[in-house]
Amino acid sequence: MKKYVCNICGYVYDPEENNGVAFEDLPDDFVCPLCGVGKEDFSEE
Amino acid sequence: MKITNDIRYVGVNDHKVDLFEGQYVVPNGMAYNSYVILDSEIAVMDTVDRNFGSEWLANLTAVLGDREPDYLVVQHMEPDHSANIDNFLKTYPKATVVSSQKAFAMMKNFFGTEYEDRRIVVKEGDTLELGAHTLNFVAAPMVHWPEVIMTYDSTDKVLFSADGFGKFGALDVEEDWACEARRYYIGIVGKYGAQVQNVLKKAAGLDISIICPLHGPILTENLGYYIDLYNTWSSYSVESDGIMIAYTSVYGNTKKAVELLAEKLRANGCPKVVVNDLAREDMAECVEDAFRYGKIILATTTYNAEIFPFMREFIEHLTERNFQNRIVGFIENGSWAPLAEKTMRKMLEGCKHITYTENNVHIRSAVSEKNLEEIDALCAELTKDYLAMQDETADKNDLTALFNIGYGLYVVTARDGDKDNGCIVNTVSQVTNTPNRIAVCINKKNLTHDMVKKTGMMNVNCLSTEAPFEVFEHYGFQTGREVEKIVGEGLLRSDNGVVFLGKYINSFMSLKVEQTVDLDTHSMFICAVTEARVITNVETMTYTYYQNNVKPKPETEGKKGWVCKVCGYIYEGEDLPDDFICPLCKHGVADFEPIG
Repeated sequence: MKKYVCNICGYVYDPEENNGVAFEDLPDDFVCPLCGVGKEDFSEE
Repeated sequence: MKITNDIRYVGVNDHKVDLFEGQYVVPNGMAYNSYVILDSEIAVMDTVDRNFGSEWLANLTAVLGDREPDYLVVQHMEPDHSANIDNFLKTYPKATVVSSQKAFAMMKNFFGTEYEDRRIVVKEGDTLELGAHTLNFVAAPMVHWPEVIMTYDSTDKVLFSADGFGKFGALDVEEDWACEARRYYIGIVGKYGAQVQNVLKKAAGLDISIICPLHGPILTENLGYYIDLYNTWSSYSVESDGIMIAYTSVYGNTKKAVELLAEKLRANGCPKVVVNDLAREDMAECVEDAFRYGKIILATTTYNAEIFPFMREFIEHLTERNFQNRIVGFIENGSWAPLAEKTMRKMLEGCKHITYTENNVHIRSAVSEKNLEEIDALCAELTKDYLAMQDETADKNDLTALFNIGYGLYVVTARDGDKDNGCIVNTVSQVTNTPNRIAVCINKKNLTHDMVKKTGMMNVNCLSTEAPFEVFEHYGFQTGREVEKIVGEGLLRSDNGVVFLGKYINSFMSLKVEQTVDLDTHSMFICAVTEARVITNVETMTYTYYQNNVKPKPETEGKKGWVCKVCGYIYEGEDLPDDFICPLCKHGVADFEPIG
């Protein structure tokens, strides 16, 4: 599954470290745990 | 102030600030550092807080003489460093701003412009030549803002570390570095341990002689000391041995329990006990202590069916900074419906690697006799290690230490004529590797022992974590002297003719006995390896794994007597005879414990 990177702070969302939940399947109100920005500020790694 | 031949300090001291960053009390003020590199071209590193613009520009002029700066390097956009960017650029119309893409985006928000016509955008690995000095830019995202860059001058070996390695306190006050550096780090950067670790890895590859932070003193000696502390803090490791008790107490009852616990902890040899009144002491100091010590006791009262507000605030500060890797215990108070411990546990739910104490204290309004026992039990649990390490208090005959020797679990199989047999053994070790020798120790009561002694051969089958309890019942709780354990079609045999298991093992070794040591109750066979096969990659089952996951919990409910820790057999009766042998697994009284 694809990893996604936060454009603002560099945090990497790895499905493998998050119960196998794909980034696309995260709820709309998901925010970067490090800097708080929303899904729209993430890019595919 | 001269830092090196070409590098000058032009920062300022602030003794008027009441709360740094809007929250931190700073009894010794703050320093906003800024530096100038005088080369064929001149670079200025960062600006200062908005209240000190004129002073800073005056410092700058004094250092520049009749020259003008060429570059303003902006490492960090937080206003205590960035507030005078626009003023500087108006004062020096020919200067170029050097910073990261994200920083320019923030300048647009702060100043209304990204300075597109007078800037250089830099990223990780980019350099800027000033003449003799080369500035190398290092990205430090989320230390503690996303746009942060640090700068390494490879000529004078100086790391301009932005907010990293800073501390509270102006530069005209002498004070210990670590205390205020720690309060500063935990408060401001504490959440971003992983990001700090990344920067430390990058810094490890640089030859650094001087660290120039944006707050606190310039570090010129013994840099290993500071870097070690940053490594400890950013890895959430325990820095100092000791116990911290954080408490709130409204009428003094919870406080009494806290004081009793503290007294007992000190009496039991705890090297340092820190007690913090969360309502009255500096919150940032309390938070700092929670990250410094390894054992934290949270003592509070139930309030509005939750917890007292200062404790809630304290715990939120911890969780927000990624609090982890600590031992936590609770003292809760409640006059009608105590909910404090439950609330605190819920708040700490998301924290990794927290070990909770088995013993906690539950007060109903005021400390009771029962509470005194609870406090004693909690104290014993927290100081077990200190007591064991002190000559005067250690139990020097605690043979439960022997249970801490680690083992795998194996089925040893052997063959004598047309009889195959096997038993469970944990005492298998490789003892040398030139040549390979394996030592296997078998109880003389086992038929397998006699077969190995007679034939000089065996297979050691390594049980994997997949092995069910039935394997232990089959090979461990019955004897080949009375039962045929290995019969049937399709038995697998290795070259030595001995059976190996077709299931539940990850490997086996065929051994040939070279020496035998008579140990009265057991024989130790020291063997060469004649064959070795790996069947699967599933981990070997350790004795601990067996205890925790495979052995069924014995039905001790309502029974009085003793239970065998190896197999769960229950001996009903008040006194266990000294020479009692477990009928199921043949272990002796040392492996029995009383029920209840």
